[in-house]
Formats: sequence, C-alpha cells, structure tokens
Amino acid sequence: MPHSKGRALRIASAVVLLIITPLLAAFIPASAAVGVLPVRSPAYYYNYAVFKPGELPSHDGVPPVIILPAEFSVADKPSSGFAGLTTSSGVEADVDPAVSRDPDYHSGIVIDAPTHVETSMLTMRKRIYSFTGPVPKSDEVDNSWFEDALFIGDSRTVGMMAYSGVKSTYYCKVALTIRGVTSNRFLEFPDDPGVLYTVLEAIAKNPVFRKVYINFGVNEASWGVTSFKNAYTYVINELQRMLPDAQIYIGAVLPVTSKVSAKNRNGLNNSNILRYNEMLQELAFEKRCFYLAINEPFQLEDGSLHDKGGDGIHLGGADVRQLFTYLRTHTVNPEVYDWAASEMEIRLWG
Amino acid sequence: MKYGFSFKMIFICLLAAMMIFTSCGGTDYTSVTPDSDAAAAALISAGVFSEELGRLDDDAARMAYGMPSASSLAVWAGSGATPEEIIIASGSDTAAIRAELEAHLSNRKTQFTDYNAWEKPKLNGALIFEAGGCVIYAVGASGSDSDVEKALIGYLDTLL
Repeated sequence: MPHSKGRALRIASAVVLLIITPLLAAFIPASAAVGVLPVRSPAYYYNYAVFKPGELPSHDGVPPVIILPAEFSVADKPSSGFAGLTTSSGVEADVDPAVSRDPDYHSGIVIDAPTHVETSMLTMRKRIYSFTGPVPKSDEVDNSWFEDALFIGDSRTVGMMAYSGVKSTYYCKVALTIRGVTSNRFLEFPDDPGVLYTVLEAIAKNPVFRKVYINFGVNEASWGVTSFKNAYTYVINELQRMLPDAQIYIGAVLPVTSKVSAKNRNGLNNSNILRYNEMLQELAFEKRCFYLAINEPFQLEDGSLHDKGGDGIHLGGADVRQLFTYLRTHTVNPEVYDWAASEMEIRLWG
Repeated sequence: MKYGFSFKMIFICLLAAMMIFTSCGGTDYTSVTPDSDAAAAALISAGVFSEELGRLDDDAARMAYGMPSASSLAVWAGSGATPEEIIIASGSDTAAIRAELEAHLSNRKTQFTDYNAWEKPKLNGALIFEAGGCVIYAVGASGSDSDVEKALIGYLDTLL
C-alpha cells in the first residue's frame, strides 16, 4: 500500500509538473538568472524585458529610464544585472536623484540605465535636461547634424569655417562683436548681389535654421560682464523670436594662452574670460539655451589655452577639428528629454 | 647733351619695360585655365603662408565674400588671426572681378587697422593676378607679393 501510495504521488507530481512547467515557462521565460524580467502591464500582460547584465546602455549618451508598472513584484527581480533597479519602496537606493524627485517615480518601479530592452511595451521615460550645467556628452552625430545649423561668431568662427570641412552656414567675420551682429553689414546673398545684410537681417531673410551655434567674447573683453550680457541677451532674444523652434547653443569663450593673458591687451585675459563664461552659463539657463563648455578640451589646469604656436588666441586646424568632435559629441536630442519635466525641475530645484 | 639725355631716357624706359616683363615672366597667361584646387595647392605647398589654410564651403564663401561678378568662387582662409588667404574667382568680366577683389583688399586693410594691426603689413604684399578667365588673389606671410607670385607662376607655367 505505501508502495502504491508513493507511486500515485509520483504520477500525480509528474502530471502536475507537466501542467505547471509550461505555465511557469510562460510566466518567467528563460528564467531570471539570465536577466529576463516579466513585466505585468495592464495592457500587455506578461510582456517581458530582456536585459543583458554588464552592458550599460546609452541612448545619445543618456541612459534611458524604464518604468515598470507598480504591481510588479520585487520578488521577480533577477539575481543579477539590475544595478540600477529600485522600487517605490526604495528597495535599492541606486537611483538617479533627478529620477527619484520626479512624481512619476512613485507610480512604479524605476530601472535606471538598463542595457537592452526587447519589448516596446515598456514605458521609456525621457530624461530631465539640466539647464544649470553644460550640455552633457552624447553619442556622436555625423556632420549632417550641422547642415541645418548656423554658426555666428568672430574670427574664431572664421577659423572654424575654414578648417572644419563641415558644410553648414557661417555668419562670421574677423573682429565681429556681439553688437556687430545687429549693426555690421557684411553678408551678401547670391540672389541679392550688392546688398549687404547684418547677421540678424540675414536670418530674418532666410529663417531656416534648426540649430544656432553662437560664440563671442574675445573682441568684447574690455566691455565688462554687464555690457556683454546685455548685448548677448538682446541677440538671443532676437534669435528666439526669429527661430522659435531652433536650438541655441552658446559656446563658452575659449581661453587664451598665459602669454596673451599676461599682456592683457584690451582686457583680454583668462580671468575676464572665466567671468564671461560664468555669465554665459547663467544666460543659457535664463534663456533655456544650451551652454557648450567648448573651452574644456583646450584648457590647461591654470585655465589658459595650450600654447601650440600661432597668436595664442585662435585655434589651428587640428584644434578646430577637435572642437568639431566636441560639438558632434555634445548635442541635445530633443527626443531624449522631457522638456515639461525639465521645466518643473527648474522650478522645484533650479 | 640733348641726345645723351634722350638715350638715357630711352634706355631707362627699356630697362623698366624689361623689368616689368621679367617680373611677369614675360609670359602671356590669358590662354590658360587654372584649376582652383591645383593653384591653391601650389601656393600652399610653396610655404608662402604662416598658417594652415582651409577651403571654405562654396556657399559659405559666397555669403562671406559676395563677389557677384564671379561665376565661380573658391576661398581658402586661415585661423582668423591673419589676413592670409587665397581667393580664386572666375567669370566673363575679369575687370569687374578684379575691382571686387581690390575692394576686398581695401576692406581687409580697414579690418586689420584695429584688429591684429601687426598683421596689416602682409596686405601690402597682396597679389591680384589674372590668368585666363580667372583672377587670383593671394596674401602670404612675407608682406611681399613676389613669393606668392613666384609660386603661382610656377604652377601656371605647367599649364602652358
């Protein structure tokens, strides 16, 4: 009898296993150990995301954030590959502070920086852009990024136009100042020969640009921060009025060599440049423009420009090409960011 | 005494004419068709510039340089620190192109009066040279047009 009881139990177990196993397989496919995570969403039950442990993701250089539905159980968490997993109850603290402050955070489980998601059912949450800092590093774009861009600047931008080999539009001139953008007529359209336009007039005539890169500060070194800011603000206002959908990138003033700085000709020294850059970063924040810390790749520890010959102010060809590498790797893809939330972030924490 | 003076004058005039012809190599370049890139490469490789020159995008060059008389325009510019550059413009009215280049030179002299004024003497050696339907403007580092001209003629001679 005990023998037949045991046999019956074994048969019953086998039957149960035969029924249960496929169900389990459907519930937790491929097992959690390889990083497969079931996701219960109201609309798409048992969709699941596959994460490859050890491979940190990047979407334009910004790790995406995935919000799992609130009913997702922490017990379903696989044993590895989820360094950034956290829950509304704060099971893990490894979470981006910007994310944890967001009200949405409390509605579900946030996985910061997953590697790979093999489903379209998950909510890919956009990031919050911090206007208080410079444009963060992003995935490198190709030069077609600049085809609908406009570069405005002085002789340093002339050097960019000459050395970059990048097809774009350049409204720049030797000795141009930020005030000259409104008053210096030097641009000539091929379809309007003999008529010269200022930079702003030229933009008004042909307002097609989706990105504007603006860089001044050397020829204005003696103006003082307030005058420089006033003139810059006026130009930014005009650009935003004429090109409301364009991204405006404000380039930091590049430093000069210590030798040039010591000469202090017309106030051109690295202390003034530093003050200007602090102001430009504030201006970018106020006007919701993107501040590009283009000075950083070329700046020595003492804040001066590395001395590679030349006049100590202008970049040579190799440096300009390096500068464009920086620009290609510091772009803002508007699709990546939640601009309303970014605005909220500024109001709450800015 | 009278004759002596006249002979002297004729001799001086002949000498001056010879010098003018010699300085131009005495060669007629009206029939050649210079290639912009090759001409610029010849100038650049001759080492007459103190900094790297890069070719501007054609549309960018048009906006910045205008030159409405030129049907084609190619510009090589530098870091922005110096007036060194090459402009090669071609068109049917070379006299008008030359006038526009003269105006450009005049603008450059104005620009470099306050801005990097120590660079201004280079503009005294600006070369404006006509070859075929092309007018070539070049400003080198030396402040004399002879280096630039020599390099340019070296290239043009290869086309004869």
